[in-house]
Amino acid sequence: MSRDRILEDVRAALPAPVKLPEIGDIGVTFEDKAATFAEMVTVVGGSPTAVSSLEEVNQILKEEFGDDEKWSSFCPGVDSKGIGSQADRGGHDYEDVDLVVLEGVFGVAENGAIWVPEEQVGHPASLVLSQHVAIVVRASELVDNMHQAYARLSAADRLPRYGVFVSGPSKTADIEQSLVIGAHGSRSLRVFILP
Amino acid sequence: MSHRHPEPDHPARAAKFIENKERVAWHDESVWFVRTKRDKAAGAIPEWEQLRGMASQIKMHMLSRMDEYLLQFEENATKNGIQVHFARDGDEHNRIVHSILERHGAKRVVKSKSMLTEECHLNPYLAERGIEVIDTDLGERIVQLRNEPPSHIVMPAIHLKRSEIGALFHEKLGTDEGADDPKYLTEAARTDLRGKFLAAEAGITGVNFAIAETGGIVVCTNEGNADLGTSLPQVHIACMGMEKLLPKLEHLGVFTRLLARSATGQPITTYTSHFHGPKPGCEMHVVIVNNGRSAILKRAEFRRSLCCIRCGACINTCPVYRRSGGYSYGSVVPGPIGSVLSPAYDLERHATLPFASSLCGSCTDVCPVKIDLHHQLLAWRRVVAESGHLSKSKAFAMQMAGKVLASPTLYRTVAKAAKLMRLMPRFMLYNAANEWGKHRELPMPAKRSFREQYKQRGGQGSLP
Repeated sequence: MSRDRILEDVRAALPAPVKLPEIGDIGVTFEDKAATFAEMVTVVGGSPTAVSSLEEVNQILKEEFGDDEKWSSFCPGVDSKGIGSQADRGGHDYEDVDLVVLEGVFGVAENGAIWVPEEQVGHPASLVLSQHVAIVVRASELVDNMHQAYARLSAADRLPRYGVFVSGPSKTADIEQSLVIGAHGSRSLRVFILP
Repeated sequence: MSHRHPEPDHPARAAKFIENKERVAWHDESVWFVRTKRDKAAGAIPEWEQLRGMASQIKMHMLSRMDEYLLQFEENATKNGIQVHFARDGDEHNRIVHSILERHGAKRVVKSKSMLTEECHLNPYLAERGIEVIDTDLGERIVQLRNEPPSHIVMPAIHLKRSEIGALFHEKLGTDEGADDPKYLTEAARTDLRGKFLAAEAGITGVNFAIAETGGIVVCTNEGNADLGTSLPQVHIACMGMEKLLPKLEHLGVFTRLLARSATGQPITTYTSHFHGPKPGCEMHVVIVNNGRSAILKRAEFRRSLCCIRCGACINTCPVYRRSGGYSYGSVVPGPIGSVLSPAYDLERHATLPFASSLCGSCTDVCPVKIDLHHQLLAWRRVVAESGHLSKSKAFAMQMAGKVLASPTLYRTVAKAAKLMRLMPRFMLYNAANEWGKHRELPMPAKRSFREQYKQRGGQGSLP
């Protein structure tokens, strides 16, 4: 069997043991995590806005998106519209959705990334198939760096089947190094920062 | 001594690329631009060097206990409902992927970037069996439409100008003739590929990291193509070389901080996607491939190359890559890392690659996992020479140099004779026999040698 043969070949080739390093507390930290986080969201192509309530999020999105656009919200306090029942939607049904609104679990100041596990998005496809995405994250739920981020994930009982760090809208620079926002996934990413 | 010459070799292919001087300058500049972005991103992290040290040690640790971590990953992934397969070589990998697709009757497959499937030549294998594989990374899609392999592992179409991509899209996707705006072209690809994503029956991805402790995999993209390609179809097949393992989840903290900064100067990729099991009612498979990796593991001087996380930093900084282009290497992975990996697979075919370097060491300096690339390149040169795969001109030059440098008398005679170069006309110095001088000026020998000056001073005192 290939599996056993591979293990055999690997065992015959193993070098002398190398110690696993202790990572410790090496990551960069920031005096004002929320300010750095907002700055990094901008650097990676997203648009950060500090808000004081979900009501305000609703208001801003209503001003930005037209009346006939379809919203799919997984964020309590922000309503879906024009899409029928949320529960029946499969991945392919997000093709014609203009905006998906969701709550991120926590954000990372050093790179503007937001942790989004499957339970926050209804279906993994919603995050990448809808045209635009808005994520709400709380300033109290920010960590400095990726070491702290994974320490948080390690502390949980189990990892979700699907979970993603989202840092900005989809982008590409595959044509002559020219940055284009809106590759295959979301064309824009709004990040609302609650206290 | 072998008589089968690798044709065409790196110098021959590079010669073709540098015929177009304007393009060489442009290519050099655009690749260097990425290197400067990397420097800026790395410089912004105070603990950067510490991270590199840790990343290197974590990978070396994993390599020293790879058998245990393979088993741990298999056990935990299986618990997560993932089906784990092992493939000894590219052929077996392709057979496994094909059998999964066949079982599901999948004829339309979307694939996000995977250098492993390039290494195994999966696309032609599946195409021969009636399965359409669409590469969905924009750069890979561009080269796929041109029937070309990627010329860079992170930026597959870095060798192409926007006008060429515009012409390609006009022909293949019906964009306006002469249109070459990157935004417009990207939009056209987006529209076309969204159709492919929605119609796909299976999605194939590569693997950036596989976590033994949690039995899951991580895939990093900027475009979101891996997420689209895995969230819509019923089947997700992830293909990985077995050196992609990491022992623990916390190690991702180190590697996600290094990868994108080293690759493109971004603080992290847009999507860092963690897969720890199939969607409800769906299937997820991981194919773990050896294909020569255990043989590299066995060789002490080369095993460090298995730490590679495919960021491409060594490629971007390499003065030879920037001026000779990705295709000059004739291997799946170009640049310094390709030049140390490829000879391990086929020494004769890739015998010229270890020489496609000035040994300046810049690759080693930027490598986020501290692979001693330029030392390995040098070590490969010795292997190539010892196995008789040196080109005739190189073998002759080395033989001569060896003789001259081994004998003080002969050396002095040659050094004296070399002074005649000062009197020689150009055509005698710069001709077919002088490969080195094709694009460079020879340094003129000094009027008086060190030895002569030393003697003149009575063998003591300081020299001017």
